Amino acid sequence: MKNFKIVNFVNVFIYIFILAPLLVVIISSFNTAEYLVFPPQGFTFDWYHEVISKGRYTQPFWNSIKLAVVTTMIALPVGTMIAYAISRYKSRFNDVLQSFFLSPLVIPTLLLGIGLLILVSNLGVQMYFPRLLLAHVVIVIPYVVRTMIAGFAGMDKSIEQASIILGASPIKTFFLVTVPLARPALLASGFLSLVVSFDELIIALFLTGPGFNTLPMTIYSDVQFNLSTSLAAISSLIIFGTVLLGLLAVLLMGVNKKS
Amino acid sequence: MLKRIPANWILLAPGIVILLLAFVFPLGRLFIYSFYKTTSSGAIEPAFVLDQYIKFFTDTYYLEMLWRSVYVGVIVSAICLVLGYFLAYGIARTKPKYRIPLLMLIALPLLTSAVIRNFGWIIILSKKGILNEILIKLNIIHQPMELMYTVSGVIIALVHVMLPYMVLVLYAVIDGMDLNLEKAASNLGANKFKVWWYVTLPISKPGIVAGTLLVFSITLSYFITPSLVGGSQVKLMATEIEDQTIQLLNWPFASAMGVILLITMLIVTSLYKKALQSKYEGANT
Amino acid sequence: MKLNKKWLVFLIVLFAFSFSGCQGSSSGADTSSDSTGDASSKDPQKLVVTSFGGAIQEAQEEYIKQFEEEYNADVEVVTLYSADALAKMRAEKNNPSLDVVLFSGGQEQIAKDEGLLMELDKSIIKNMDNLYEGAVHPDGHSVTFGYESLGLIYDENRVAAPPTSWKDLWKEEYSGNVGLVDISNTYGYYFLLAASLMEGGSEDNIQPGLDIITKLIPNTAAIVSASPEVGNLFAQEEVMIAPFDSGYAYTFAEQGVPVNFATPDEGGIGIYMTANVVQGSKNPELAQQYIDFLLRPEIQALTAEGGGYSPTNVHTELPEKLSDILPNGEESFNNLIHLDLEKVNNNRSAYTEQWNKLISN
Repeated sequence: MKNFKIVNFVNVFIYIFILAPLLVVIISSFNTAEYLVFPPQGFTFDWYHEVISKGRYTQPFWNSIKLAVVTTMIALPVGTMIAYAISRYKSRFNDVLQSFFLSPLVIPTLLLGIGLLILVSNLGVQMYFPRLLLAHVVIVIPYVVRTMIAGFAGMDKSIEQASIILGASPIKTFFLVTVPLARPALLASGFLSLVVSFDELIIALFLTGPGFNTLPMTIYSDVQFNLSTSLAAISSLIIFGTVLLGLLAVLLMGVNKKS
Repeated sequence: MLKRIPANWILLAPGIVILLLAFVFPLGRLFIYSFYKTTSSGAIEPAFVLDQYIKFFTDTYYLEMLWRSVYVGVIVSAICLVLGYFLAYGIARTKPKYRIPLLMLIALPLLTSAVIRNFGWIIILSKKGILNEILIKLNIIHQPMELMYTVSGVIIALVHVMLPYMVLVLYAVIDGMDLNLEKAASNLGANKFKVWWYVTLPISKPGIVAGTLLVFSITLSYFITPSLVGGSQVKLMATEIEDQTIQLLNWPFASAMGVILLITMLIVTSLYKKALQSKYEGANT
Repeated sequence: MKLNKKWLVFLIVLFAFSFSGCQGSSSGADTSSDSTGDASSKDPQKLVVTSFGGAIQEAQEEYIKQFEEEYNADVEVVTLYSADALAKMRAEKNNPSLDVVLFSGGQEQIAKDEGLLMELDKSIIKNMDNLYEGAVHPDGHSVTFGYESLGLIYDENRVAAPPTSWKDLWKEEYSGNVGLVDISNTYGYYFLLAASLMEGGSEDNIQPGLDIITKLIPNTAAIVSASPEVGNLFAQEEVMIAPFDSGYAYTFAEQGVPVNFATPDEGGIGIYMTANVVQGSKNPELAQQYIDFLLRPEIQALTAEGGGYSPTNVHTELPEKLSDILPNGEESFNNLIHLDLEKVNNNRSAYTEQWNKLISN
């Protein structure tokens, strides 16, 4: 038990570190001044009212959600398949494949964005959602692959083997045994993929065009000119929304357990 | 017909097709650019020369920058590993219903725009910032520390934003772990630390490898946060690539730097894996 | 447990409510783009234009509604900073998605050299005849719809007497409180050139500028690269004075940051906001009509109010509130130091390297 306490004690400090800059932003968002400044000089909800009533961020917000969800729906299975192939099948190409699927991470997204823009504009692809989706799938796959490889490696292989020995087909084994066992890894990589896509700015800047704005792009466009307090308000709204979702999850799981 | 193709290649096929189409192909174009010439106005001239690479490797300014990038990447990965391990361990050992909310809490930095986050850092890290004030009041330091626009500040801000990646990957492994092993070990009389050292740590190795590699790779290519927190005094490969691409329009040089970054990552990764493999035998990650 | 369920219901309702609220208001704001389509029999022509985001984009989006109605057009505004816009234009050269691009950092010269811009037609852009001399670029590919001056912005509460010269930056009283902008930002680059001109250098010789800025660096509180960060430095009282432009000074002051702008005696450096038509635009006539629209006196006044860009049309009259703060009038326009863009752009790469090596030590 003693060890647990040390972990918790250290974790409190780490959580403070994670939340500190965000708290500054949240506190500043209630400031009366029109520009971002700390400490605040007054208290008002005006900026929240402005953000919500102007509706500037609503459409981009939904666009980002849509993009993140569809990206995850594609990248998660594709990435899991790759990770499974690398973890469970012996091949002399495995090392090369791993590096290959990790490499999009290391190329600054700017270069990838420009490379892709040259390609799609030469091909004449003007559909902004599909071309952005494709790019997002590419940058998200490495996260999924990395996480799932780690997840598969940490798993007890004997259960899978037992299933096969007992006569289940590999496909059946995969869905009935491997996937449930890999739940934490699937959860983590799905979550990563949602977040990475939702937050991505640079590729979106190059690949989208008129009519399809993502939330990071809209914030970027406002930030470029001036740091107004309403930007702290929109960021705080996202933070509150995430925390609310988290609380909702606690409640839902609590209810599930009890009933 | 289909049966002749090994199962693993079928599994890999969609991923390979997507990456070929939307990664290899467009970047191949930039790879070719890296052998082009740049005129003084930044215009691109098709050629096959090593000018860009020669420029990079003959100037200590750029070599130092590469070294600084690798160094920052290693430090950030190491700090993230320690902090992330504590967090992931804590989450995996907490009640199931608190796990998702805690993971979401940790991911908050990623959901906040970099520029807005940077505002938070200015308030905390600057000379007259909150951190310096607290530390001076507590008599821990007497002179305010210079953190904004320094490598240390960049490392702090990068750890902050890389931590979620590390935690999620570690969590994926630690949570999937068989708790019975730990129990068995402690029933057999090992103390908590020994249980962790001999049982938990080796099982979490795949997560450690995956997490550090992930964080290292992203750090190498991350440029918004370093350019904001580091200002112009802290030049990293990724921020320089941004400058060369957008401000100076020197795409051949930027591409060459991208290629160099990629090769660096491959070298560091394989060295890291070799080092690990010689330490722990037979691990397959 | 009952409590749990109540909370759950409450949260769901709250969530549903907040989002439906957002949606309702957004549909109200979004109708502007399609309202013109219903009004006329012909489908509106599409036009894609860039803007710089923030307050200036808000102002532009507002007056674009008028343009859409007059010309039966459907205008989409894309936020792109000048350098980003040029990179994007270059990448999609063969299939441009933009029609009208606005530049603020002299990018039009590069764009024209790379064949990315169309020549402008005076018979469509009639307002070109009403501009100050020098607002139409000699090569005929771009036109200045607003200008700024690079000078000194200072904290009006903490700086006793307004600065009068670039040299004031080096004053002992500001030591530790000078803000600088990195050369990767056009304003930072122009300041380096201004310092060089002051010390007897030129666009082709920045060594004198580098030498004197070397002496300034120990006095700086920060060297930032993003423009809005300069406002932040003043808001947090990290700096008292910085070489920056009149447009941003206006924007910051509008937000309530206590800053003021002063033109140095050596002359402010001219920063010209240009409007350009992208080569290969599918709708060149409408694109030029849009530029003509931007040059109208009443629209220039709105641009000035939104972003602090001083007007270039001889007929534009600014309300007193603006004419007091913003540089304006033909004399002010002519007094600006007009940098040689070709040299400025050609040397940028080399200068950036020199500058980076200087400040990273």
